[in-house]
Amino acid sequence: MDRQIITISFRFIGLVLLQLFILNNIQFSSILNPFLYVYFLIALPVDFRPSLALLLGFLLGLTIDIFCQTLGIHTIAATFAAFCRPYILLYMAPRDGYEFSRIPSVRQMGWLWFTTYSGLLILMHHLTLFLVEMFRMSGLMNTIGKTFGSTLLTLILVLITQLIFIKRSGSTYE
Amino acid sequence: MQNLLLFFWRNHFTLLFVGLEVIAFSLLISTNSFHQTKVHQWSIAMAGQLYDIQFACTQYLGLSSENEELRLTNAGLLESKIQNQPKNQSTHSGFQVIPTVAINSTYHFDNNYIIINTGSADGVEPATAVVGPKGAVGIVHSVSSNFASIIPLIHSNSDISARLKSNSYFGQCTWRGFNESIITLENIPNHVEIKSGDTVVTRGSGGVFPSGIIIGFALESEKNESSGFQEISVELATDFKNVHSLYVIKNQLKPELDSIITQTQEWIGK
Repeated sequence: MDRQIITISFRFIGLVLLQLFILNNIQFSSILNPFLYVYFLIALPVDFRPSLALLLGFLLGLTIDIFCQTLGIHTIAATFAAFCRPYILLYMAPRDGYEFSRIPSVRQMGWLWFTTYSGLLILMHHLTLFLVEMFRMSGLMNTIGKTFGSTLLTLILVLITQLIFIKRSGSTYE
Repeated sequence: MQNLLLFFWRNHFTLLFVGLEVIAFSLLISTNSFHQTKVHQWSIAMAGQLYDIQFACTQYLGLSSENEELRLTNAGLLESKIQNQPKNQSTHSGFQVIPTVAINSTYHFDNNYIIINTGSADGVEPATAVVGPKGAVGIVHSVSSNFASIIPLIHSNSDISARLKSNSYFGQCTWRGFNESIITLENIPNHVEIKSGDTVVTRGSGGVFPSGIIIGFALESEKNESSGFQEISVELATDFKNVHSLYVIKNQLKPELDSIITQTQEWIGK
């Protein structure tokens, strides 16, 4: 348990720093904005308490918001993603249920499962994020295009992260 | 109480989610001016639509009081209009306008009448002028405390001194009956050429009507070679089949005018 708290804390800080200092400074394109910090929610253990995940999602979004000067936008999106997480997990559950304390990862759950699971979570997060950012119904197609483009990019980054850590099997940073 | 706590515990995940999102939205709206402006725009648009609906539903309720207000405003405007006429048109200042409403009227008799819902309590006196929105209507005949009867222009005894607006030749307006929209202007000399549509207005000589109130528009003239005067049929400006809002015009200088006229007539009679 203590190890889990340390892992989660390090991942929280690491992802926030990665988002703020690297990803936010890379201008891929006007419609491609990756938000890798969602990986924090993706990588929470399957049996992690949903309400605690909700609070952590709120905290994560708030931290990003404070440093991005966009108070509220990321908070709303991350909280919503954390809210969706248990339902996605329930929808994606294997026939005989999750094994105790499984951690969503390519190694444990397989490529197809992991890609679908992270894709849905990232989509929920990005859709909320861009809708709140636009805050109007005009230009809806633009928002949706932005959402799908960025979702794809974030998903690729998430999978790359998995590839990096899959080599170090047994690492605590899964 | 226990059930309530149980409810909260069972739904704590959703409730927590809603609570956190509410906090996040309030942060969003309180700190981002773009989002704040958008929310203001929405709220104004929605409130506007709501008030539009409310106004559409309730505007009829206040219509009578609104009419009353408009009548008062009109009376004030009419008063200032009369008093602002050029001095050389034999007008006297000191006209007081009292708004009123016709509550009963006839138009198909030889001797028609109109009853209005203001009387001596409102300052209406006998022998004061009554005009409508379009033109002259008649003269107050008798007054009770809250009502008054009017002799309209379409009364067999109606006799109002009138003039042509274009050239100031004057005559008497009388009504010959039969048609509630036609009145006859007499005593205009034959040599005055009348064009159809010439405006006939009150002369104001008796001090009852202010000068220049529209009576009607000339239709045709019939020249009488033996008397040297022509008779002009005038289409009334006021539609006596439909009289509602009226204004009583009281000339506060009439007693003074009456006394000088009487003195003059006595002097001529001597």
